Amino acid sequence: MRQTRFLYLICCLFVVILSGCENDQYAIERQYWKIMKETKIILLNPTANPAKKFGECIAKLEKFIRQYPKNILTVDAQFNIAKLYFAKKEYENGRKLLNEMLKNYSQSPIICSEILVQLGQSYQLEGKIDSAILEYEKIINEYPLTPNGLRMPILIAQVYKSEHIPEKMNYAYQRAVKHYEGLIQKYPNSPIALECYKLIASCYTELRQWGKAIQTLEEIIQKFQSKASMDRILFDIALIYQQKLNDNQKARETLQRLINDFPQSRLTATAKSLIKKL
Amino acid sequence: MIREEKKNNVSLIELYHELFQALISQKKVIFPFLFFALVELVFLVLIYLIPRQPFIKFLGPPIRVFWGEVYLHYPSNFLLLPKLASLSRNFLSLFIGPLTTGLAVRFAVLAFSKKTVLKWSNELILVLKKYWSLFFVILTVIIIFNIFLKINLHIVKSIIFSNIMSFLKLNSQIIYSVSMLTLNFLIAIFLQCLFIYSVPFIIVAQNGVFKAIGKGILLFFKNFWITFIIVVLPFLFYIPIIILQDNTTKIIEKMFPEFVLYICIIGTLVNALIVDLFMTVASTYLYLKYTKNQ
Repeated sequence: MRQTRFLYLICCLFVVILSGCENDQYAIERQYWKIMKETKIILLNPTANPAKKFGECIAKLEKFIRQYPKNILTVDAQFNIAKLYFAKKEYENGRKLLNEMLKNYSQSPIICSEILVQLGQSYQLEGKIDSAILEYEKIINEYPLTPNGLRMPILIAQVYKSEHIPEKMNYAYQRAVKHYEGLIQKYPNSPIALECYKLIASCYTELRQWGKAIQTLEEIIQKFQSKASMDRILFDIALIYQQKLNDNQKARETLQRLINDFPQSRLTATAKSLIKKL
Repeated sequence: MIREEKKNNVSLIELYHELFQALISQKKVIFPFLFFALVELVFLVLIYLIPRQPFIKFLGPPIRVFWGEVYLHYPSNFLLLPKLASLSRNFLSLFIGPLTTGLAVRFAVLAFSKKTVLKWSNELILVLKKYWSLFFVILTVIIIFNIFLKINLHIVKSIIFSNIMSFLKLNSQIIYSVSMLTLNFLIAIFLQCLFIYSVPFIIVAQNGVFKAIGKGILLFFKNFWITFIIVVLPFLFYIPIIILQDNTTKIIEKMFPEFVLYICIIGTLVNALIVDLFMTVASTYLYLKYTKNQ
């Protein structure tokens, strides 16, 4: 009898404690994950799904947004509704939603930059490359320090590369280098400057200007040695020497520098095995 | 070693026949393992509830500090669930394990001697007197196993980065998974075999901890193969659980995230009610048989 009462008390306690779980953030994430599982299947292969499926998914996402309007997942839900519209080729509906989001989230540069990326990509899907580039340029002008803003000059060059327009691609990379150099002058010795140097190096790599790429990477080591780990940078320099310039001697020296300066690095074992091969 | 085994000569059929007879006649032998499984399940449920209110307020910060914020969200919390379940099992094995294992050996001895358990409290008091000795044995096993885990990782990494790997052109991810699984499995089996007889020596013969460990290791080497088999056979039931727990990401993608929790629950039951139960009772029977012959 006592044991039964004790078990009953424990069960009641559990029910009381767990009743606080009903609509907590975890439950909301679980609900959203289930909707997203269906959405991902549709987005993976839009042509294989009937229009009704799109409508159902959009309705579920809209219902989720109405239920939890202030939840952080609502932003992602709205982006996914836009993606579903674009997958259905209803570009104007998708853009209308994204433009409304621009007004609602004007206080958040990161969200606004992502909205402009989505708008640009929708134009790319339609084949309207110039309109896409215009959206991407807006990100560079209005939100230059966001992650999207920083990588946008290179993304524009990659758009021209995918459209097989080499002259515009080269010009875009050169513009990107100038843009990053401007940011470095404005924010010297900052994390933004470090990121810009890395992006400049990747621009020179795309332009196959290996000497300038190595020079930029060496500049990163010189200026930011005390602020960040340079093992990855040294490894990239070694790869350029080995794969692009066929200079195994310099590659070996750089890898040895990596091993000596960063013995605890995850790249040390790879560097040692690479030295044996060179 | 082979001459000693031939002299003692306990067949597997006889062993498992006696084991099942003892379990049927004295069901109380199962109770310590059942208790351990229940406690472990309660811990598992608590671990599952960590990301929920109100548990996240006081259980969330350690997860945030050691593993990251991402594991407090759905469905990433299921990626961490098997690891936390394993840590809780180690914790419970260390603090509750001495009691449950000691009681199980006492009940098994009574069952094999065709006697009944008269009073639980008497048995519990006898086991409590030897609590710290049993604690030391379990702690030793856990520490040695974790040392070997690190050594295995180092061995496997050096193989992956060696010239052999690039020559054979083998997928390093598959080699890593299979090698770690095999090495860890072999180490776990060997450690169990080494220390399996220590508990009966502590509980039944009332030996001190170091004497019991020494005698237990000696008894193992004198009866190598049968001890190896009684440890490996129940362990085979746990291998599918280990393989599934190693592939939680794929399970979440292909099935649904809660499936990981079900695997952990089944793993807890298999571990307590098959692996531990059969290993402990079988080793107690062999201990009684071999020490009686001596």
